[in-house]
Amino acid sequence: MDSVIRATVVYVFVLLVLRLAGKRTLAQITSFDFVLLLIISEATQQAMIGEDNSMINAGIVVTTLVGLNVLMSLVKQRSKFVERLLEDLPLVIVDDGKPLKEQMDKARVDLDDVLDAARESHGLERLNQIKHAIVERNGKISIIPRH
Amino acid sequence: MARNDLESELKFHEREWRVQRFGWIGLCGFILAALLGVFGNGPLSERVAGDPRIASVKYERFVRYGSQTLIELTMRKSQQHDPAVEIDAQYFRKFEITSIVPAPRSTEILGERYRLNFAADAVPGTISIRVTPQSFGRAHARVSIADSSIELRQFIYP
Repeated sequence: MDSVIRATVVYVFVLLVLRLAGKRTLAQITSFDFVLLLIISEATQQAMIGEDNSMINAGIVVTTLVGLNVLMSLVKQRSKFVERLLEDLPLVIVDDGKPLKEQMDKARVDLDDVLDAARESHGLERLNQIKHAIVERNGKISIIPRH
Repeated sequence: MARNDLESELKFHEREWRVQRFGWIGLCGFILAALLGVFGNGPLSERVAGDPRIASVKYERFVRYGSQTLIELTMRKSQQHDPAVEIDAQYFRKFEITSIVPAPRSTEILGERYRLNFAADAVPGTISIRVTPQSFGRAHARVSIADSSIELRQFIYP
C-alpha cells in the first residue's frame, strides 16, 4: 500500500515542480540539466524506495508510475483544460521575422536560442531568414523558414 | 500490393491496441492489489492469530525480501511463572532478528526451539519483534506464548 502512495506523491510532486519551473527546464539537455536530472532521480529514488530493496517493491513502484502516466494521457485526451494545465500551449516568439521581446523574456528564451534552433533545424544563418519561431509545448523551439 | 500491406499493418496495430487495453486492466489490477496489501503493507496482509483475550500474534501475512516486518505478541493473561515466548528455530533460517522490545532477560535453546524469557512486568503487554526476511518463499513457525500455541504463516516476496 505505502509503495503505491509514495510513488504517487513523488510523481505528483515532481510534475508540479517541473511545471512550475517552466518548460525550458528539461527541454534541451545541457550538462547542467543533465546533472539536475540525475540529482532529482537520486533524491526521489530514496523517497520512493526507502529501505525496501525487494523486487516486488520495484515492480509496484514502476507499475504505479507507468499507470499514472497512462492515466494522465487518457485524462489529457478527454479534457482540453487538463491538457493545457499540464502541457501548456505553444508560444510564438518570432512573428513574421519580428522577434517578440516580451514573449521571449517571459519564456526565458533569447535570440541566441532562436538562432541556435534555426541553425540546427534548417541550417539558417540570419534572423531575417526566419519567418516564425515558436516555443513548443515540450520547450523546444521550432523554426519556420522564410521562402 | 502496397495498399494491402498497409491494411495488414493496421490490423497489427489494432491487435496491439487491444492487447494494450488488456494490459492496462492488468496494471490497474496490480496497483489495486498492491494498495490492498497483497504484496505486503496493507489491510489484506495484516493477520491476527490466537485468542485476543489470552494471547495473540499480529503479523504481516505477506512480507518482502530484505524489508523489515513487525511481529507483535500480545499477552493479556497474567501467569504464575515469568512470561516466555517459544519460537521454532528454523524460522530464523529465513528471518534475521533486527530487534526485540522489551529485550528478553535471557534466551534458551530447547532442541529445535528458542525460548525467550521476559521480565514479569512484560505481562499484560505487547512484545514487538522486528525481523528482516533473508530468503524468499513460504515461511511458517509455531509460536508458544502464555500456554497457547499459535501458527504463524508468511509468504516472502523476492
